[in-house]
Amino acid sequence: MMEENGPHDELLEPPDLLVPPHLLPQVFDLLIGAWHPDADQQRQMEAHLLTCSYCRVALITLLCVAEEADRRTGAPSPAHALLASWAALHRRLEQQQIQKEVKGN
Amino acid sequence: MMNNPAHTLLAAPDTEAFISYPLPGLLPAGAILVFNPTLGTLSCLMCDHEQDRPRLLGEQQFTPNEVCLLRPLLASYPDYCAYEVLHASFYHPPDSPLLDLTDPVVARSRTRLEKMRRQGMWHEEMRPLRNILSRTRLKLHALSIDVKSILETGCLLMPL
Repeated sequence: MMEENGPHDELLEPPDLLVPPHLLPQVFDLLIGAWHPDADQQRQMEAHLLTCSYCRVALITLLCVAEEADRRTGAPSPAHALLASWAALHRRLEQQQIQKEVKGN
Repeated sequence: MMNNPAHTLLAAPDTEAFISYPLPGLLPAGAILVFNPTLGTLSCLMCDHEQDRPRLLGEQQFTPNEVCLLRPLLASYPDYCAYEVLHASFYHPPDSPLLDLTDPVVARSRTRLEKMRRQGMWHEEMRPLRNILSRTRLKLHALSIDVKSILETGCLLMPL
């Protein structure tokens, strides 16, 4: 069960996704077309996104926003395919993590 | 995001009259949301330093079905609330303890949703829940909070 009785001041700070090793600035730049990573940078980004659920969720959320913006303007949405595949991957990775946690308990 | 620190931030146990949610980054600085489980009301309070007293910024009342979705959404912040948690909570009594991702009932909802997704029936399965979620979203708008849907993943509270 989710706990509801933790004291407020014990709230752990979520990571600052603007600071390395997190990738939020690069994700922003990538989505607005201001950054074109080479193959090595793409591999590094992918490796981080596979292990960091915070950055992964940030990417998925931004892709949702991009898709919504495309839908409003009636533009074809390349974001949708990316969004669907990252969301599916995220669900798989989260499920693996949950299974690990359940086995560990 | 399995060990979301926000899941442990809530001050009051279920047995207390009110549950408070500070929700930093979502509310104006110094504001807090207070949920009254008996009345199903969610109030946004802020300390008025000039008058040295609390000020009620807004209040909304939620139906029991809406409360089933509202509580896990608030408890998950700043993380998103997975659809399997919302699905399991929706079919649980509104006053039952909050469910997390490792609960067996959530696992059953996850399996069910995955099966529906494979059959192309995900939206049909989620329709009753999404109808209630739409009403919950509108009420939260009155408190300047939006509920952002993340494709087949979950819902996230964001400032309106």
